[in-house]
Amino acid sequence: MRVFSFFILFLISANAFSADAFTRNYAIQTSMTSYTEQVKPVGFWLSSFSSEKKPMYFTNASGMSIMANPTSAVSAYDSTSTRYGMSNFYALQNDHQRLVGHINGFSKGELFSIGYDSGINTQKLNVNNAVYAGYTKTMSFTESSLTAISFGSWFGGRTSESPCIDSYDRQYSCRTLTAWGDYKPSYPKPLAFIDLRHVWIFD
Amino acid sequence: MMPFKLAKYLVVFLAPLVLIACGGGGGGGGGGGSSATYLMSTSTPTLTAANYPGNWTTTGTVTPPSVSSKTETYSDGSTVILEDGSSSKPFSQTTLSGLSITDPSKYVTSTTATYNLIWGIPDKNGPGVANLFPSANTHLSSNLGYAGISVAGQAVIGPTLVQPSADVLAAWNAGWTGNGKNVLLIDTYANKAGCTFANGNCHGIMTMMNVDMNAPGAVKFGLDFTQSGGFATATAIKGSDGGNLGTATNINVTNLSFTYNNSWNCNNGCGTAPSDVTYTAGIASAAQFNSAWVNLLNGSYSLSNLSNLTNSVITKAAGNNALDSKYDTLTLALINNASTASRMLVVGALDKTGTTSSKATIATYSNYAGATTVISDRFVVANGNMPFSTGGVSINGSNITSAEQGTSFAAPVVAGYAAVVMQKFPNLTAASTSNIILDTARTDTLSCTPSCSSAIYGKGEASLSRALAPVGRLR
Repeated sequence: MRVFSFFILFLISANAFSADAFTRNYAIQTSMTSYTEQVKPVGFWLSSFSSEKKPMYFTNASGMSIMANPTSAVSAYDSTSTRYGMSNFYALQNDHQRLVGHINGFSKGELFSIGYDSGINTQKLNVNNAVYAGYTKTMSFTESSLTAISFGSWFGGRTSESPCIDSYDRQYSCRTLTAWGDYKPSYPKPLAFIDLRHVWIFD
Repeated sequence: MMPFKLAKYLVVFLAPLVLIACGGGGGGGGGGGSSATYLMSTSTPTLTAANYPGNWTTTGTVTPPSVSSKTETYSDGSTVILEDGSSSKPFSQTTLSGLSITDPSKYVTSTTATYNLIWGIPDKNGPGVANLFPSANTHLSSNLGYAGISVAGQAVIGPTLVQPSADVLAAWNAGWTGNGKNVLLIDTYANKAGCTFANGNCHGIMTMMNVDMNAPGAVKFGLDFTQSGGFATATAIKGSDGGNLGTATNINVTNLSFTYNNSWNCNNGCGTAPSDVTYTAGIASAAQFNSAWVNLLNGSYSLSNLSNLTNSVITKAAGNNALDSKYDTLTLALINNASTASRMLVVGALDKTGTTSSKATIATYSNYAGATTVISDRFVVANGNMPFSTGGVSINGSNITSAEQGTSFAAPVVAGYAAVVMQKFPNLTAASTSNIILDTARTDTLSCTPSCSSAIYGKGEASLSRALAPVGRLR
C-alpha cells in the first residue's frame, strides 16, 4: 500500500457564504478519491482557512450572513434625524478566523473533519466561537458505482447583539435605531448536515 | 495525489440525503450546494395589478369587494367596528392579506372612493382610530366615545376629521398608540351629559378627543376642576369609556388646558399685558388656586382614586391672550416649583401642523414663550386646531358651529406624543420624557426658520418622530 502524507492549504477568498459548501464538497471528493485510488493518506491537512478584519458582512461559522457591517445608521422613525456612525460599534476586536482540516480514517475512503471558527467580537455583535466535526465514508456496492455519505455539524457559535443606548438611556437596535423592544432579529445558525452522493463510473 | 481526480467518472446523481438546517438561514442545494439566501435582507413587496382581485384596479372604477362585519376589542375595553360590510371603510391588514394585497403603499379606487391602504392598516393596540375614516374624505365612519359622550358626525354632510400628521400615522401603524399609558385631563366635565358647543361645557370632551387623535391606545381619565367645592372634592375620575367612575392608579401624563381667570385674561388674543401692579396683585389672588394644583401634582396633596401624579409629564396650555406665557399665573406657579417644573411642557399653538414644505406660524391668539428663560426653555408649539372642520362633528347631537382652536387643543397633542414615547420606551421617567420632547422639537417646520426666536417659539414644534429617534450620543 502506498502511503502518502501531505499538507494542503486552501486560502479561500472573502466569499464566506460558500464556506460550508466548499467543506462538504471537498470532504466527499477527497473521500472518493482516496477510495478509488487505493491509497490511504495519513496526516492532517487544512482544506480551508480564512481571516477577516473588516468584513463587509458578518458571517457565522457556516459562512451564512448574519448582518451587513454597517458604517452608519439613521433612525427609521425619522430619516431627517441625526445620522450616527456605526464603525466603532462594529469594529472587530479580533480577526474573524475560520479553518477546517481533515485526517484520514482507518479504512480507505474514510475521512474525519474538524474545524474551528473564532467567532466575532465587536461592541454590539458577538458570535461565540464554534468547533466543527465531520465524518465522510465512501463505499462501493457495485463495481461501477461509488456511494459516499458525509455528515457534520458546527457546535457553538451563538449570536447575540447589544443595543445602542442614547443620552436618555433609551435602548435602540443599532442597525435601524428603532426601539430595542421591537427588535426581533432571526439569526442563522451554523448548519448540521448529512450528504449522500452516488456516482456511476463509465470506463 | 491530489484529491480532485474524479474526471473519468460521470456524476449522474448528486443529492443530499438530509440537510438539517438548525437555524434560519435555510439550506443549500445539492451535495455541497450553498445559497445566497443566507443573506439577510429586507425589501418592500412590489404591488402589481395582478396582485389585486379581479375587480380592483388602481386606476379604473370598480365595485369594492364585500367585507364582512368585524369588531375588535382593545385592552382598555373599548371596541371599534373595523368593517361593517358596507365597504364604506378602508380595510384591515387581515382583509387586505386575504385579498392578496401585500403592499399598503398604494391607493385603490372604487366607484365611489379612493382608499389609501396605508390609512387602512389598523393600529395594533389602540382603538383603531385610523380605521374609522378613510383619508380620501376624512369622514368619520363610526362614533367615538369620550367619557360616555358620543362624538359623531352630522347626519347630512358627515363628519370630517383631519388625518393625523405623517409621523403620528407612522407611529399608529407600527402599533405605537400610547397603549398601556394613562392620561389624565384636568378639565370641565361637570355638564358633560348636557354639554353643547353653544353652552361651552364640552371643553373636557374636546381635549380628551384631541389626546385620542394622537395617542388612541392610551386610557384617558378626566378630573373635573369645576366641581362644586373646588378640586379638593373632585374625586370623580371619569374613565374614557362609558363615563363610569374609575381609578387612575398610575398617571403617566397630565394635561392642564385651563388657568386661573385673572382680570387680564381675554382668551381671544387681545394681547393687552397687565401693569406690573395688576400682575403682582393677580398672582396673589390666584395663589390659593394655583398652589392647590401644584400641590396635587407634586404629591403634597392627594385625591382618592388618583395616584402617581408625581411621575407624570405635565402639559400645560400656554393660554390664548397673545401675551408672554408668564402672564398665565398657573404656568408661572408650576414652573416655579422644582417638582412640577422638571416635568413640564408649556404648549403654545400653531396655525397648523408644520412640515418642511408647509411651514406653520404661531397662532395669533397664542401666548408665546416670553422672556422668562425658565419658561421658554420648556416651551414648545403644536397645532392648535381641533382635528375637524366647521360643521363636521357633533357632541350630544350638537353640531360644532365653528372650528375650535386654542392652546387648550395644542397641549393635548403633546400629551399624546408623551404617551406614545413612554409606551415605546417604558424606562423613561416623566422628566426624561418631557426633556426628550424639548430636545427634539424642531424649527425647520416653522415659518420663522432659520432664525426662530426662542422668546416666541421656545424650543420649536414638538415632533413625535424626532422624539422617538435617538437623542444625543449613542453608546
